[in-house]
Amino acid sequence: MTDRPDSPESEDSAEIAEVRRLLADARHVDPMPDDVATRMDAVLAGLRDTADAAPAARPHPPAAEVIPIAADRRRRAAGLLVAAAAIVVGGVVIAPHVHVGSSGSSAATAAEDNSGASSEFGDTGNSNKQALTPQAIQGGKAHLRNGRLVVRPQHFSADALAGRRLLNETSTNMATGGTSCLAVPQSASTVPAEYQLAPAALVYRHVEGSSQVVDLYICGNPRPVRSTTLPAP
Amino acid sequence: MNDEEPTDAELLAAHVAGDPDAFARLFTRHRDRLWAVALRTMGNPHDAADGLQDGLISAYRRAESFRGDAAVTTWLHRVVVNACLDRIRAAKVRRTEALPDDLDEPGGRGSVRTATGDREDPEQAAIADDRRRALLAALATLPAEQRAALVLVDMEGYAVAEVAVMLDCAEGTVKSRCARGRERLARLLRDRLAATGPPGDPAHPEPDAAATRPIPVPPKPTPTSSNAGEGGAP
Repeated sequence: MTDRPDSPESEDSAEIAEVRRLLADARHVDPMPDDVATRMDAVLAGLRDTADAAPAARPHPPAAEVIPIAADRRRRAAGLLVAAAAIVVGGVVIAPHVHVGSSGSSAATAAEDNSGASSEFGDTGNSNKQALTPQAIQGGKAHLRNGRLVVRPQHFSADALAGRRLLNETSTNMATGGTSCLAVPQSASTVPAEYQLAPAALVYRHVEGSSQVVDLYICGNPRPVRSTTLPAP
Repeated sequence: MNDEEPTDAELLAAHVAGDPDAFARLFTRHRDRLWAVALRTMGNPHDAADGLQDGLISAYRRAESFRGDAAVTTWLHRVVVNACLDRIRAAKVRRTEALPDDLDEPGGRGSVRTATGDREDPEQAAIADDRRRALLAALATLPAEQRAALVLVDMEGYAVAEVAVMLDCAEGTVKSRCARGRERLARLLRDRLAATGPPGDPAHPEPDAAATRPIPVPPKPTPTSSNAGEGGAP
């Protein structure tokens, strides 16, 4: 990482040389900020925990990530049955964000999450919090892992919506106040979450007019890393 | 077994073999440089942290794909830069390019110190800082691939051949991206460069009133639903 590229460099005029000097001067030399380092440490810890919990998911056996087609088909069928039952019994209109059997990976994730979900809100340390019930999971199509709502980067709004449904379906005092890593005012509601394997929290702001802002915080980071606006419930 | 620190390759091999702490040690060893590259490539700390996290997860899970053709650090940079570029491409349709991280916070940003030494007087420090900010603003307007090439070659000082591995392209492509990027920066900064004149002592640029004139800075992008902007802790 030492030598400079070969300069062609008849065209390496004084102007270009000055640009290169400015670029070199603009090199960022400070260490990684503490909040980012904390976040990366949390991600690493999550990765390690995942590997410990499911050794087969470690990177060395690539075949372990392949989902057998038959199992995938069974999961899809089960998901479709659940969705159909929800429509018939509850007359529920399933929102577009519900991904029942939309892909093998999401179906597998849901199955994995359901099997691995604990009966509590993880290690939030908030005695007010109650369990995320299977009913809530089923109705909201929330993906849970260790009691935390799995928020997918590509489906952030949909998962935030699912989290709100989860919030509504359980008692309202379950998620007001704080989580173990956030100081949340009583006026906001939170749902413990997991974002890219890092412990996180979805914070549902007060409904204003016809909309509600939802922020996603990664534990250790005082600023929201994602935000979206949902229609008011 | 000796007391020497394990090499990068040894740590990566240990991770693949199941050592739960090896990857964290490897990442900690290089995280500051990876952070710098992500920050300059993405242009702001929020997106940089997202890109770095993507790269971290990808490298952790794909460690077995490392074949030893290049240095481990080259491979790590490659994974992180690609993660950043993927994010930029994905965000392109949703929002405009982000501004450099420290345009709004000139005081309190550590990177200010990268261009100014403690020994400089305040006026020279201000001028140098102003130039750096103008440079970063101009850099943010470049296509992501050009920006990444310039960050790795001209900022970080990696050899073209190494950057070619990181960016998974030919050396000639790296050179042409750098050349086009520099030309574009020169155009964007022409007034400022003309005022500055030929490069002198980099640590002590001549004070010049014209040099303090800020270059036009693109308007701050409106926050979208994809990535949060500012906001205090809840």
